Amino acid sequence: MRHPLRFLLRFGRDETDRVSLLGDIEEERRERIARGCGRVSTFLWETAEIIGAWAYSVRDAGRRRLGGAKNSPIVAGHTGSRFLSWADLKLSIRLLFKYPGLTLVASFGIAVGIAISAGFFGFAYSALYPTLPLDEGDRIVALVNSNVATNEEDRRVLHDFFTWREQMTTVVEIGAFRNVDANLQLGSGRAESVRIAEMTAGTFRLARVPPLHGRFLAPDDERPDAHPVLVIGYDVWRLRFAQNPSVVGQQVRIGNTTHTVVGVMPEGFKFPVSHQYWMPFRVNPVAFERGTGPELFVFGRLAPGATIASAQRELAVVGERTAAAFPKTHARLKPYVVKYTHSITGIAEVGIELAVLTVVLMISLVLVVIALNVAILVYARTAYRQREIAIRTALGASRLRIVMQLFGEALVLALMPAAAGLALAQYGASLALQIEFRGSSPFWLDYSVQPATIGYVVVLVVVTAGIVGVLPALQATRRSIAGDVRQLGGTGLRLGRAWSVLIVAQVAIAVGLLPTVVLSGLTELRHALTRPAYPVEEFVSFEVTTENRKVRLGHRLTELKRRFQDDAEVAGVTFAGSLPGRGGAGRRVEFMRTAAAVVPGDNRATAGAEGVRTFGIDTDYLMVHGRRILAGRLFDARDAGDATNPVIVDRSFVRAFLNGEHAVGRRFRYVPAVGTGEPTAWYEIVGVVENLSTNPLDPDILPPFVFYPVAAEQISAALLRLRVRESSVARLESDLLQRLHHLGTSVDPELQLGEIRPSGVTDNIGALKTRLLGLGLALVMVSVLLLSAAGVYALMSFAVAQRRREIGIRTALGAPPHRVLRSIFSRVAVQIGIGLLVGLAGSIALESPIEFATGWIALSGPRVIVIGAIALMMLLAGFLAAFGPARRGLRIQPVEALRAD
Amino acid sequence: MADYLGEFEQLILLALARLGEDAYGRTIREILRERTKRRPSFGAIYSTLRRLEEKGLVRSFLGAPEAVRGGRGKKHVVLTARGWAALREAHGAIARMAEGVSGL
Repeated sequence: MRHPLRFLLRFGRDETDRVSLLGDIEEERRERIARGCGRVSTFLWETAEIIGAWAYSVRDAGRRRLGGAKNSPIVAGHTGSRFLSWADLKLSIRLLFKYPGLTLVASFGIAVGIAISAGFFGFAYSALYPTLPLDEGDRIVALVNSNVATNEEDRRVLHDFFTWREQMTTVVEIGAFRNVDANLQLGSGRAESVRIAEMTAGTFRLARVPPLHGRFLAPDDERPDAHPVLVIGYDVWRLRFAQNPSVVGQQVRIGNTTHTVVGVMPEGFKFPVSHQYWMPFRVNPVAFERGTGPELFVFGRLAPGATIASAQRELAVVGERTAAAFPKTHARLKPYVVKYTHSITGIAEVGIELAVLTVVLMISLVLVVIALNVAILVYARTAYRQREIAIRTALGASRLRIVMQLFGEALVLALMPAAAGLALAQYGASLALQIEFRGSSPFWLDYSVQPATIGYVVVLVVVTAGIVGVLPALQATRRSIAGDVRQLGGTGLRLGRAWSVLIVAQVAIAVGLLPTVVLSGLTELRHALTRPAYPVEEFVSFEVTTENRKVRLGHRLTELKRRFQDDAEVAGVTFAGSLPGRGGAGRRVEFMRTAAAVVPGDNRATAGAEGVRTFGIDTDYLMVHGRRILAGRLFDARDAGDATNPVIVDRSFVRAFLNGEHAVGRRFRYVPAVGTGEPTAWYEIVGVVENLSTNPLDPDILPPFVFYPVAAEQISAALLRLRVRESSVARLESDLLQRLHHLGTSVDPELQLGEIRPSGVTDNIGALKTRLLGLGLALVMVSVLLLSAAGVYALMSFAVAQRRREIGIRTALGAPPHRVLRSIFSRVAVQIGIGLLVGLAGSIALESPIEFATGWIALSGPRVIVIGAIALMMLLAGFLAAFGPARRGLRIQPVEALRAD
Repeated sequence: MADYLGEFEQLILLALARLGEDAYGRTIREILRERTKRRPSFGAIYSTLRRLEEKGLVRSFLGAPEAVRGGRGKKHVVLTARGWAALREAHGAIARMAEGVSGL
């Protein structure tokens, strides 16, 4: 990859030098990589070399300009090199310490901005452009069928797989795999549910990784009459077989079939995704119609000389032929060649790359907002340094030279927080990837810092420095030299209208934009505080299904439940059909208007059901979870399948849709929120229960729940929930979990039990995501708030300082101090007041444009409080900033005040 | 008057004298690392070479592109007669100053 800073070597260097220097760096870079130096350390080394070489060329250019004399800091400071000198860098570092307040506030803001921008970039880049760590991994591609009507991938491609394998010439070694979840048992040990890749034999050749022991799968293994075989991964070999070298030939049980281990793959081999078990692919295409069969992933290697584009052209032709031959199943299918990793992580759709990068850029705009705020702070500082700039200009420094000096200062200011931001981003991105993929992250995901992320941060730093340094510098150097020199004896810039506009704008932006950020931050934080209302530590849960996921669980689930109920350490057993769904999405709730309960004109009766969660549960689910019935009754055995569709709702539902009125006996249904769709059947509320979760800050934030009964005969997968006795909770950490899992797997070998884990763990992952988001928002909130207050402080402080002489003269002429102070503070109040009004209008316009346009202003309670708090903060910052210079102005001697003119 | 040479300039000239026709950025850096235990950056070496070339003590030419260098050539550097003379002079001055000093 080209180093993003290579362009720096163009400055002050002839072509021969540049070419040779780049060659030297390239030669050494290759040698470092061959020696096994990490990509990141090599990238950092290269960065240091390039920046070092650039700094030397800058210094040399300065010397040449001065006729070869060694440059003193003062000379270099204003007439030296055209760009930056060592003296500039030294001055920049000194300035960091001279204005510690600005350094701290700006650093915090920039670090947060860079952390968020680089974090999202790192996450997106890892997902979009991963390197497949296999021999010529970048030439491995996936072949997918996309349904042009639904824009969704269709993985039922069994017949297409055989067609593609026969007809494609630009993609060779085409193979396929499918995921199979099965119970695996070693000897008489306990069974465990594992994910196996059922894979075509040629796939191992495609990966070009030889086995560590034994052999990998061969084409003969795929014959229906061949003995069942299994290849295992290194981790399994180490953990389950104690690295036994004679593992090849051992027998294991998968479901009801005995398999022989024929090979062990080396460490790190987890192809195709994160697999550790491989079985031969034995799906007979004759047994399935076209467009049916198992869901497959098809992939292959680009033939020598072929590209994704040329393979796509060929595949399109094959696809058209298939569509012509089988219009019924293939008319709407279009095959694509995509990067292998994209097909696995589900980002194979066309155009998603651009969409993701656009989102990353949009998020990076946070940094631009922060940088603009820092620029205002720096502008205030630059105004104080007007005299220094004037002297430099008088001594012959060009405008470009001074702008570059201020740019360099901003660069130095941004570097440290950028490093901190990068570290924070790295931590956040790797945490996000780990949460996203949990224990089974694809083998190609690299959690280390990517050179591209560093490159992105470098670009961000340059952009930030551009905004922070160049904008104030251009403004400060706009004046003529004559004007500057005239000001040498004065106090600096005259207070202009621009200054007032800046103060008003700063306050307006804070009041206009921040409430939205603060409120969403607070909402996220409130969500993060939502906790289960039942003793979650007493619960363990796991998924139950069968090998053939289509079969209803029925009596198997009932039997499993009974076995658990008989256990002395289990206090209760129940199940849910799945996790709670968003059944209300895109719908409204409509109540049947009965004679007894007509609610005329009550628009809540047909309120939007966006947040409603629907949850199919076992009849005793609520009882096992200790939920008290508030009205009506709990489910009984007859409810599942009852024609009246009995449901139980929770307290939140009653509050949201019925104003807390009597709910039992009411009937409701869902109707589409927009358009004309069919409404659902009517549901009858038979009971009201306490909420499943609780929020100490805001009970209204809990989503309304509608529970409906499901029976074991109706479902093919269930989420089993065991409640252990209070006295046994401590033992969950040690052996109880394993014992329960063992008990579950011993009931029926056909039943597959997912990983059994305490409910707290599962719930915590969701909570962790919410908390991460809340933390990110809170950081942005605090940094923008801090920067806004600091900006108002800096601007106001400077504006009042400009009036020091005026204050002195007025005092000398006999004005009493309280009148002078009133005049100063009234101007402060007017400036902040106008800012508040403009910001308030903007805030309302943003939040509710229709009300704003019609003149009807509606402000919600929390928003008023937040706006009030921000306004108060700005006023305080403004008055505090004005206080110091005003006091100094009052103390000034009249003679001193007049002398200056 | 003979050309004044800084310490690093002397080291670079000595490296060129040792390396002969094989002298270019990387080999100069390697020999300096090996014999002086210093780790100068490429920037420092190229800056010094340019200064020496401006003084007429060395001359350079760009070699043919090489794949291992990403298709870029090497800047070969050789000592000129004036360079040799300056090196001898500098070295002689050091030797004369060191003569008879105990503890060296």
